[in-house]
Amino acid sequence: MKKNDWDAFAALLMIVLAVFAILEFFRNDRNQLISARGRAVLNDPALMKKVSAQLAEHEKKGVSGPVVVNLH
Amino acid sequence: MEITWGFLLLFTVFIFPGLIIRRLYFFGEFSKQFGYNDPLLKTVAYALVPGIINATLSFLLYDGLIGDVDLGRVFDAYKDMSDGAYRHAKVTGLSLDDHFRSEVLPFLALLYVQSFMVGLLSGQLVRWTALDTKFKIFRFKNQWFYLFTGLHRRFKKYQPHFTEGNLFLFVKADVLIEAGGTTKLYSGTVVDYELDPNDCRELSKVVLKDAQRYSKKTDQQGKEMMAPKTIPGNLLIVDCSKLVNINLTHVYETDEERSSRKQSFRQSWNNWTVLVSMLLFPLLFFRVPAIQADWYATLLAMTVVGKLFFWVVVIQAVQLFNPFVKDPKTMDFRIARGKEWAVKVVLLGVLYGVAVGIDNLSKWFLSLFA
Repeated sequence: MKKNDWDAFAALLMIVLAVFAILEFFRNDRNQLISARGRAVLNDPALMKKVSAQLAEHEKKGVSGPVVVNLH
Repeated sequence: MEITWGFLLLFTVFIFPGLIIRRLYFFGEFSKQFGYNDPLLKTVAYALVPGIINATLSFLLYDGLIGDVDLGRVFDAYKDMSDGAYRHAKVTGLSLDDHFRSEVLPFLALLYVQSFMVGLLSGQLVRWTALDTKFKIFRFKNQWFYLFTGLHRRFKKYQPHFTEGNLFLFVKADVLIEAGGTTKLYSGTVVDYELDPNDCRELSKVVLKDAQRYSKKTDQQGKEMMAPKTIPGNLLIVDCSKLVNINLTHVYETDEERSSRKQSFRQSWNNWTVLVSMLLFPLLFFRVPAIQADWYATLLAMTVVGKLFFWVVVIQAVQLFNPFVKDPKTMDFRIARGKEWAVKVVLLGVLYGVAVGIDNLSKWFLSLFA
């Protein structure tokens, strides 16, 4: 491999790394349909029990609007 | 169909890079807005604007950083190519091959790398800065993305009805669809959705988790009522081609306002450290006259591979100013513990040693070809 080829390879590697760096930099939980915390709640039966109970209560009240659950 | 030099130039320099920018700008959930099924003329026309801007920027960048571009010579060469009587082989001086290798190819490489980067960065930047929720001109056509992710509450018209501080968890949907002359109601947590390939504003399918179907039942008093029945299976894919309406219930976590702000600040701090690391990258390759230190001269004398590894050292060094780490269990940012600080410091030394070693190895390797 000649020096120029070596440099070209390094430049190509830099471009590929830059793409990954950009994608990693812009990774955003807000772009997910289920947030990281939401996933943790959905996968935790104890927390889901609390959510279901508060959802049922919200439904029972017949109030329009988003459900704000307290998980503490 | 005869392909002329003009068409080739238009396509190579303007249209194709423009298409790359547009395709990468509409990333992830917005990819259908690129318009795969649009008429060719519309696709070309839409690609031309970013293509022209990109070509102009490339010209300025190439002219300023790599070498002077003599447009007069470029146009003359272009005219020569179109002239049937012109014989390149008979021209004295630099051959066409050498012109292509030393001038045309580097410019095209810059043009395409730039279009790739601009496309990749611009769409992500709009989403990252939330410009699309603040200004309608930046808003993506996929309205379902904003509704299903709870981002709609950042729109000015929705703001009076929602509290920004609560942490979005997930959204539950009641989907009423028409089927066989009657309506059917399905309910569940939205985990995914699909848009109509011909119209990116229209919902095509919704994927529900823990889905239930509502059906009419008669209670003990003989009253008719809608009762939910759990649908066995992991996920229910509801065809929304005959969607009547959809009721969304956004589930937020309360008492998280402070925590949410804290998390937001920690995420921003984390992002800034990444950004600073990226901004320091060119300093390893381009000399900054203001820095006159010996260590900087030593650094610039490193091989490309050595510099790349040294950049990892720089990233690690910048991380010493980042007191936050992302907890793998809770996915929340928290203050780094003593053990994590120790790892950060030790890793910095190890990476420095690796970078110096790799640089020496590269120098030895290159000396074989000297």
